[in-house]
Amino acid sequence: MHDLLSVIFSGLVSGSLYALLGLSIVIIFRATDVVNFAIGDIATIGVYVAISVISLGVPVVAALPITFLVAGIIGVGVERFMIRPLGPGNMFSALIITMGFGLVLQALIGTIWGYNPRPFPPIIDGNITVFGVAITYQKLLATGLAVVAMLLITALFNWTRIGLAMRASAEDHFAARMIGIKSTRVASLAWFLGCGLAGVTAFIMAAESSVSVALMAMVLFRAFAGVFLGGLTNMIGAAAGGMMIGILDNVAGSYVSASFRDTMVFAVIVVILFLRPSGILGARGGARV
Amino acid sequence: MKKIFLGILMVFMFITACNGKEVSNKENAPGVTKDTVKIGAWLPLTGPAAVYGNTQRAGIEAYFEMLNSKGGVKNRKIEFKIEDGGRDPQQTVAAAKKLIGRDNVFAIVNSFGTANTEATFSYVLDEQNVPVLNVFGGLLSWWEPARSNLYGVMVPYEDQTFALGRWAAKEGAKNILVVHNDPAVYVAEAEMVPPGAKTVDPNVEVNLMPVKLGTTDYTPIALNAVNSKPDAIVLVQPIDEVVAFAKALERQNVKIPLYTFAANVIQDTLKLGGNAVDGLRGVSWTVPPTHDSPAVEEYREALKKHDPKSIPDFQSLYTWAESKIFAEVLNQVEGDLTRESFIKALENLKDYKTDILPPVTFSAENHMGGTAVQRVIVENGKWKAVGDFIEPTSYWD
Repeated sequence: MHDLLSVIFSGLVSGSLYALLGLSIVIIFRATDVVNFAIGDIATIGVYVAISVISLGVPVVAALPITFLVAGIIGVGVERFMIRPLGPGNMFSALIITMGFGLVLQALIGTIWGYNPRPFPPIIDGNITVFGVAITYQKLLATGLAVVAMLLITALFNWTRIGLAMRASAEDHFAARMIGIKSTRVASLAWFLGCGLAGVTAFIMAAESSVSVALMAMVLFRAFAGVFLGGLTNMIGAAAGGMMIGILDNVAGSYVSASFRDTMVFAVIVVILFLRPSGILGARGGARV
Repeated sequence: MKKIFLGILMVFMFITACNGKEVSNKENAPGVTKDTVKIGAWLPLTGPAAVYGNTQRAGIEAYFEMLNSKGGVKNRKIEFKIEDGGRDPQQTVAAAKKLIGRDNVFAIVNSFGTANTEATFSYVLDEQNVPVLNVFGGLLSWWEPARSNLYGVMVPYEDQTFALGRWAAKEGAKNILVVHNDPAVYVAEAEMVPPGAKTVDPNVEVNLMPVKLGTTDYTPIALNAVNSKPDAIVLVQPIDEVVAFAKALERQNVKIPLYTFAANVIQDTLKLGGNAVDGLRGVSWTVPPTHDSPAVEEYREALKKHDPKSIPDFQSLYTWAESKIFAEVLNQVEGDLTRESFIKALENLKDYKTDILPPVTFSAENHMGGTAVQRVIVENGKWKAVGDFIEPTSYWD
């Protein structure tokens, strides 16, 4: 157990990506009551666009905001043309639509850019050794971004008019409209922010490894786990859940079995959710009627 | 009544006369005419395995285009049909039914996948008696005992990992770590590393480390691997995980010789892995696509002509060579081309040299025509051949 600290630190850093994606999921859910299963694929298409602009000579750092914008705009389009026509309260239909749209995006990426994995340039080169484990600057950047995004989004939702409008709109669509909140604008903003942030996560993932159609599959899986662990309704909970997943994943991989990482992680989640069904920081409450 | 009978007779004669040319063109085999031989394959053209399928397709099409431009085989051009089988058994069975039922192909040549192809066997091999030649995939059980209508040249992965174990031990490794994914097929391959290594040194220590398939964060695994202080690491994993592991090791500033099997000996490994895969050893079914020989030069030229954007790669070179074997067998058929005469020619193929694969020999008892692999190593961002072809399970030096 001599290197437990390094394993925890490494897990925390990996978990920051799950936290960032978890935040994206929660932003959309809190504002529009939709669990967006296409978020990983929307983010991935943003990264592929980044590859194309980088190949035209645009610097890697400049491609990051482009990815944010592309993913955000696609998110707005999905909300406007696929989710909004369903009307409020169609959570399951929306869920199926996002799943289907994700598959369509995967096929689209394959058709336009091909299925071969592609290398992606690093945002920042080099790494630093902390507690005996080498961590890339990129992952530290992701951790920093996750923390900053978490704070900003928390502030947005709690202390700004638009944030409060987003929460009100998600809570009761009709009541929000009656008090003058433009719920359509709120929804668009949430989808833009959520998908844009997911695009940033995908960008960092790509810079860490490479780009492929399935870039976000495993990250999304863990981000969802983090969201449910931390609480689907709580920003800090979702981010903390993502970090916890990263730590559990690394500890299980190092001390139990690399083959049973997911099993261990999800066993812990099941126990926690059994004790606290709304997640660690999720709001307790009855079902909506 | 008489007039009606005469009318029917005339219509019958007219139809027969119209069809006369086609009837005379046909031979006693499905998919074969005087001018063409129609064959088919299932490849993953979409989905995650499309990375292999599209590259392999380029090699096949480039070869048959070149062959057809030279007049084909015995004045018959090759008509090649492809169906997208993904890597999905149900989709592949549907693809097989289209190729055989709708397209009436003569044989299945150069298909892809182990589990999905195996799902077609009862229909293709047993029910329809269609020859299947050169599947990209396979298990030892496909070849021992030889199965009717099934022939191939791809040295099984179990034999490859045996060779990797032996190679690592021959390079002096006393403590070998095998990092492998957890599905049974990877486990079976990983378990062949210890016996291979022990042919060199019975005291060599070999430990297996299973990793969940689809793992993306390799930092804890690399740390664990480093802690076990191996002299060599054999990676029995798909390409993305080999690259992720190599990069995780590189980040920890650790340089341990890495070994992997033929599926990962492709150009993408270099592109994705960069410096992290420098020194990576592997076994390949073919000589490198950059090899300086007339046979490989012919492949490079034809590939460029087929698709100028295509980059020469092990996988397209492999399917190119497989197609060459098919054409050679077709050329050696004596008399009418039927499935029976084709099988007879196939089983008589002895020591056929493509100068890309090792010499190929089939017989009635031996349907696995290729038994040797080429060792390769990444040096300065390129795959380079190490020595000549070796028989993986023999005591090569």
